[in-house]
Amino acid sequence: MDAGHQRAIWSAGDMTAPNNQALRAFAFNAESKIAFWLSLVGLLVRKELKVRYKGSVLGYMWSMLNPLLYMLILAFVFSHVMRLKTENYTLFILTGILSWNLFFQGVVLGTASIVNNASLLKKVKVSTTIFTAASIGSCLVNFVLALVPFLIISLAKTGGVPLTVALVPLALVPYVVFVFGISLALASLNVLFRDIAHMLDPVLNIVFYATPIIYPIDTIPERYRPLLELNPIASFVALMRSLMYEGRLPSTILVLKVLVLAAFSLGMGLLIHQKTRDKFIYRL
Amino acid sequence: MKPKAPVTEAAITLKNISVLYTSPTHANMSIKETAIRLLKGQYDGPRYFNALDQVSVTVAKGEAVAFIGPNGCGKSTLLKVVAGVIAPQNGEVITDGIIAPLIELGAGFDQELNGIDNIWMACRLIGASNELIRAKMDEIIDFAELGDFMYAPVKTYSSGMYMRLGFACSTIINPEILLIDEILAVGDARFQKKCLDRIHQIRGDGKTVVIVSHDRGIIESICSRAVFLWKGQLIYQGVPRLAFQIYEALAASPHLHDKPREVAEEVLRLDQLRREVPKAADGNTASFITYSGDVRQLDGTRVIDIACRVRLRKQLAQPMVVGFQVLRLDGGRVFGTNTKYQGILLEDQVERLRAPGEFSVRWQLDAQLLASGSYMIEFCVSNFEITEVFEYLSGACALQVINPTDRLNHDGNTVELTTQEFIFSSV
Repeated sequence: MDAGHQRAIWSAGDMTAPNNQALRAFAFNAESKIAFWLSLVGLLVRKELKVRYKGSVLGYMWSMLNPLLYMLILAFVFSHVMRLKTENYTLFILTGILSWNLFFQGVVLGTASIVNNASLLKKVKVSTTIFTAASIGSCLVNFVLALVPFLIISLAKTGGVPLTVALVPLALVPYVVFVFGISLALASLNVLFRDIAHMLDPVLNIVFYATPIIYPIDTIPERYRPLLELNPIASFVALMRSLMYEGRLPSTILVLKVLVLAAFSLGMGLLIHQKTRDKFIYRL
Repeated sequence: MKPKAPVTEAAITLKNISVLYTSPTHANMSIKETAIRLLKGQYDGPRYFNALDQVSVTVAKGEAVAFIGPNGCGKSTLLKVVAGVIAPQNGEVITDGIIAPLIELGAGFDQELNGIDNIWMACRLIGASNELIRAKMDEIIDFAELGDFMYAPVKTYSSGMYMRLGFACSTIINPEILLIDEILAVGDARFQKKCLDRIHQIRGDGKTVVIVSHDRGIIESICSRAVFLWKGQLIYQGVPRLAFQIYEALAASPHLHDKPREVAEEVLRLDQLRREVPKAADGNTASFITYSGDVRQLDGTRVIDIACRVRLRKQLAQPMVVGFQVLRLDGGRVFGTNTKYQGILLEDQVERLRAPGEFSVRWQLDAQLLASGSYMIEFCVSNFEITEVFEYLSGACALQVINPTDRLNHDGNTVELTTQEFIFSSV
């Protein structure tokens, strides 16, 4: 990764500057590549959140209010207008929306991440992966904040919270890696063809309806169900829902599936990024 | 004794750098456009132009170099290549030392964040630790003199304030390589002076500075060398005065725009002629074999070592005279001396300067007497009456003086030569 080059620069620096050795020693200490990368991502996440809620009165509250409002509308439309009969539909839809939002926001923000940070890229040599990672990171923070209303509603509707919720952080690992991989690939391609960002809107809309988020999987006719197996997002939504809504452990097959999907997505994302990154500066 | 070439480590080495830009009319074509052109059979692949063509530059540690040339000649691109922001399609970039965030206008800071947050971000990105930034933050804030604007979003800044922030942020955290892209001109006169002082101080600490600028005054006061680029090609690198002369000559004659190298040669030739002493130098009677002028560290004090080696081919009635003079880059004379003036003190040696042979002449003077800045050294060997010049070397070598006791004084004060040691020997 590019972080390696960055490292090379300051390790070369460590050998020079005889007169302020002491300063140098504490200034550019021996952080590992990954620690350095993570610290930059953390910094950018804080920046993104700061900028996002700048000038808004409610600030971080919006991360919680947004999915709630969405849930209210969908719950009303589907249980009263469409008369869909699902046990605890409100909670069903909230868990679906929360899981979907992590993917949706991650991909939308992630795709724009490299283009949006053009000014920094033109100034210092830095790995472009940190910008995509930071976008996903800020979505993860959103997700965690939105867990608060989820816990409240879960308590109110069912009188408790499934114990399996404790495993959510673990399930988030492959999910976040998956979103990062896709976003990194799209972000890289978006620098070369800005069409990607425009195409994203309709495509994500299709994916939204092709994923069992507002409807339960058993409302789909038996013969179409194998098609859902092809939708990777459906697997992640199913994973999150089994922990947050159904309160049971996911099947081994599902776990293996998400792990493979995450690994594949990450590999593809890094490959596309690596093949295209040298062209970025010419297209920003 | 043979004058040695100064041993300097390179901070920046650029070898055969080529950068191709996609032609703007073809850049950022959308998938649709590409597809339509493909269908119509009009797609001929992207078109390129050479932003940089086989450019090689080496910048030594502690050196200040300027990239000059007209708009679009590739100066900023070259600076970005040094910064590591642009990966060249061809060639090799080696940098030794921590590179400060590029100081340039229009890009680099997050518009929504305030000054403090932006400093934090820029410094962290180049690898500075939180401790260092925390320790230096007050100094940066003081230097930038932005007052309450430090806490306002950068989008509310004027271009001068923007420059103050960028300059403070990049210079205070002690980078080893400082890259400045045409920004000094934006500051008001007082702040500009402050920045120049800061740059001199940075150079005094042995750090490397690369500047892109159109301001001749600034470049000549800071830089010992200028690299002149024209349409992506390196035409000349050397004394800033000459670089600007070539630039101006080329800019003034549009019909010669395709022959930059010929123009450069002509300017250098004319310069040589103009500076030659009216008396024809024959070079047969006596000529220089080697010459050098560098600043050396001797017992903790800086000494300028000026040395040359002369070959005398004929027997002369009177001893020959070997001399040098130190000039400012604008051609103004600072001081000079010769063996006749000083040789009177050493009569037995003077006698020997009449017979054919090789002679080494070496002067040592205290560099602290010179104001910080760049100078040129010229050498001359002539007959005893100094009516006949055997050889005259104009602009023979450049001399950089970094005077720690005289950081603020870069007005080119002339000084008197008071300390001198006079050694010469025949072989």
